[in-house]
Amino acid sequence: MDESSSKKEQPVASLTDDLLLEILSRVPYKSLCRFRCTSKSWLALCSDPMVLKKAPKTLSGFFYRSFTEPTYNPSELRHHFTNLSGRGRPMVDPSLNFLFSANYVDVEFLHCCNGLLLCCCEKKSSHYEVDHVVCNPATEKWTVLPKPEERPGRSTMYLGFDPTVSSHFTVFVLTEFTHGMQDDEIDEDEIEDWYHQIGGVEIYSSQTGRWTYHQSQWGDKTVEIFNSGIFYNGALHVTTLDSLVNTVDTEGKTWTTIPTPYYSRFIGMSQVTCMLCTVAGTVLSYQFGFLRTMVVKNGA
Amino acid sequence: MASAGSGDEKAAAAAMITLISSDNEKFEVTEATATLSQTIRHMIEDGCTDGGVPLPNVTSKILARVIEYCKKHATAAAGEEGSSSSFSDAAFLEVDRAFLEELEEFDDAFLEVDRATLFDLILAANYLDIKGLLNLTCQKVADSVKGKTPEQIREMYNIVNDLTPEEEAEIRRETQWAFE
Repeated sequence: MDESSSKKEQPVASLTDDLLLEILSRVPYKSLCRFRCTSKSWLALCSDPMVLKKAPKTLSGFFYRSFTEPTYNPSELRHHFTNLSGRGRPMVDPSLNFLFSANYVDVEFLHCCNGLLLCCCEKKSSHYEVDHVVCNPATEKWTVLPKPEERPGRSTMYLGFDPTVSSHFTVFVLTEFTHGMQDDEIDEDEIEDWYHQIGGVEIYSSQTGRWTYHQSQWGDKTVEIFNSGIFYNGALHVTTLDSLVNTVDTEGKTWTTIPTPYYSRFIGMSQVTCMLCTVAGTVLSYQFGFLRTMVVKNGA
Repeated sequence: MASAGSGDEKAAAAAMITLISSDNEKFEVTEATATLSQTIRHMIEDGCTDGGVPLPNVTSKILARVIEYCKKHATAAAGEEGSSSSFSDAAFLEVDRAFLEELEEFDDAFLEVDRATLFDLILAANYLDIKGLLNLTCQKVADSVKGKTPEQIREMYNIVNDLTPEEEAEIRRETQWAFE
């Protein structure tokens, strides 16, 4: 049989898929990407959840916008992408031209999660009108979200996406508590009483294509810290003014509150261990170490 | 201190186990060495190692290497148990560190084999359920593709490219940064 002649040259064929997965889950992420385009069967193996789960979620760079001083002029806004290494040409085209050629005149970054971007796109129109768009800047594929129900007060949007769990994404809109806002006249002294207080969350699932509203179960006094939130372990995590990390899952069913010892301005992910960290002033390493323990406990 | 499940008489006989390779070669090893393999550990617990343990999936060449690994690491495991009772002793920690370094050197030298042998070792480690050896050998293969281009990977593992040029270009574009 010709099997014997090829056996020496092709030892990899002797390994079962399970063993190939064991190996693939140990290769550096860059090599994994290269393995993917070697053949169809390797592409399939590399897409196995077991491999993806163990693959480090490597941060590749940063998106940001800039404009020319001294005058703020929207037409001069530029989009940039800087590779994490700080060198070389951007790994993705930062211009997001695929959105501009779809008749949007301005694109503002709202949030990003595991390679997807959530943007607020201004339509070409005589009056101000926006779409919320989720896009993958690498593949230039994008989708417009249906409009969530209009609620008074400020709202903050977050994106949740974990390709190792599902190919669907989730968008969270935290809406502030609206108490006291019916009055046209707002007493400046009373602003503290309602400002930023979270009333609930609108959750959009790309699987169902629908928004659902869920009343907050974090307690009446929850005050979120502007724009500091991440999607981790299948839940949105936000920091609050009363030194908490609050979480809500993609179904709006599980709401938790994690106390932290200090007021934490930021929450983020570490690419190496995929853990949470917060930074308060200059006590970076202390906070970092503490939260590591805390989050592990809570995640268990 | 007789191990659970095996009879008193067997424990008295220094608990030696005979392993038989696919080409019928016999290897005599201590129980401590053999039980690094979960597969053999279960056999011992079930009391079915009388007359030797046939291992039809492992050749004598590979089995000899596997036993070499198990002997070294069984000593390491015994050493760890011994040291845990007096781990506050700085001198003891020093000895421990030296031993771990020696073990690391052993592992590095152990892995200096051709690719076919390495794959055979992976298969044996998997069949015999020896976690440490499986870890070590799989990591070695994983490390060997570091920095290699897709073309080099195909060549190393004789992978036949059945993707169309368009498909391949598309996949490359998704993670373009990985190819620079």
